[in-house]
Amino acid sequence: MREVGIVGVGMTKFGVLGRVTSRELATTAAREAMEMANIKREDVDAIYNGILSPDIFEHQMHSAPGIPDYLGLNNIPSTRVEAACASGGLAVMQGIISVASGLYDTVVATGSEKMTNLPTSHVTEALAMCADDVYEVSLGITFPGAFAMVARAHERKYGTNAEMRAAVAVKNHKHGLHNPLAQFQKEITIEKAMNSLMIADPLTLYDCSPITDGAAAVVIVPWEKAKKMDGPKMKVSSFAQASDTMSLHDRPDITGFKTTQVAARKAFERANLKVTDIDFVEVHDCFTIAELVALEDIGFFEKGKAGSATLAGDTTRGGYIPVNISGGLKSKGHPIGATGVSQVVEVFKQLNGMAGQRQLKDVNYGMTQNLGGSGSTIVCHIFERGD
Amino acid sequence: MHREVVQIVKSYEDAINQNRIIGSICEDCETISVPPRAVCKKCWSDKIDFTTVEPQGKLITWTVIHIAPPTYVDKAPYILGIVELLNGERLTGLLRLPEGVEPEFDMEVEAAFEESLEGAQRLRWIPYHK
Repeated sequence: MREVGIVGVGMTKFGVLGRVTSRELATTAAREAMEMANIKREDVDAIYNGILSPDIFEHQMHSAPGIPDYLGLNNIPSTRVEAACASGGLAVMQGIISVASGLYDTVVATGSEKMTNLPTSHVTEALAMCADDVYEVSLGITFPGAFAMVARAHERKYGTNAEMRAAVAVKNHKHGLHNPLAQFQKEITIEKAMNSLMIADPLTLYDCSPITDGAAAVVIVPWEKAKKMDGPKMKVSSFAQASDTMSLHDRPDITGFKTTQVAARKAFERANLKVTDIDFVEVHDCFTIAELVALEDIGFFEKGKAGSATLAGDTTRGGYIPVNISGGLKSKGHPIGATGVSQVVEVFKQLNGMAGQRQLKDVNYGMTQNLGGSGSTIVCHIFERGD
Repeated sequence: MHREVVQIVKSYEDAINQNRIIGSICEDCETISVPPRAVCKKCWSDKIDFTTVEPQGKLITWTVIHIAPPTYVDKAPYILGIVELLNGERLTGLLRLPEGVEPEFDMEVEAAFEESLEGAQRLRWIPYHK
């Protein structure tokens, strides 16, 4: 396989964006990424689009051709990638694989979602369809509910409590203050988080990521080509994907996700790196408990220790491992298909000194972890500085 | 020759409609899976039969869902939990507890079935009566 790099990124504002389609959002992000990469439109060989459900949210199936259509890139292959909330990370991974294989020389990987057309309960229902329809959805499971069951099991085994979970929300909202594209630029307190509306006991409103519209995009090229380009760039150190049972109940241990453990281990092995080599990470904090178990499953903290570490400030900028400097899904927002791509966008900006007020110092390696379903799909990437 | 598709889900739903919980039992290694599976999770055999399992277990985790999908809005708040059966297999289900009884870890429960419904969604867990 060829070595691969990323040479341009784009991202729309995340938030409640009104009457706009996901393809307009994806087109905007892709155009921005292509301009940063300074590539011509005839250079683009293929597009991958991570998106959960234009069918349900926008009454639009067969959405992938809409992106080259609006970009004026007719006749190139365009493929929809769906892996629940890991759709975006997987679209990036498919783009990387297709360039690494030698098939394509320039690929645009996008992620997009237009969610706010529907009322909250209908969005909850649409997202719940990412769980097992027969054995979970038919009984009224929701994703807050699934992660609430993980949180309760984790609390029983390790003592990870509501205050520790709230500390994740407080920290990510604080990080999001410095991300102008984030849905929220608003600090919250532990007390406010813990006393907010109960969604799925023990998870409250501030344990949950919001419903969001938005898109993100990256331009992927062979590293040999990237090296000769003048603009910002980063090298793909490694990537890995793993799957697990659809139903949460079918897993021996529900205090973590085996998929994160497997994908992270493979990503470290393929990059010949250790967890201690990673300078910062963007993890999938769809719920506060998800950030804590991700940090434990990747190996930044021992099992059961991420909660107290978060309370102690170990995951803030300047901490032992800065986590979700973008604001994470909690504060940046979670437009499903766009999320995994936006994680890669954040790593790119940090590694190229383009992160403005939230810029970290002296960073060489950044990692992403993107989760689908109740951890049934995980996609991890590791990137390194390109200069 | 082609292989016939074994209707695993239908078999489970039919059993639930008869107030029974079934698992698959591997004819080669006798491993039982609940819910049933077409391929043995232990030895990968596809020689599968069905077996009725004890409809009892203990509660290993739960949530109280307050914000529900449209089809469940009328039932909210409702308690959803994962029950570990006596044979160690697990199922998700709704808990139906008497007033004043709160869910707790390792609470002993047994299956009940919602008469007005059909299929997997009929499954309920109630406190175990010796």
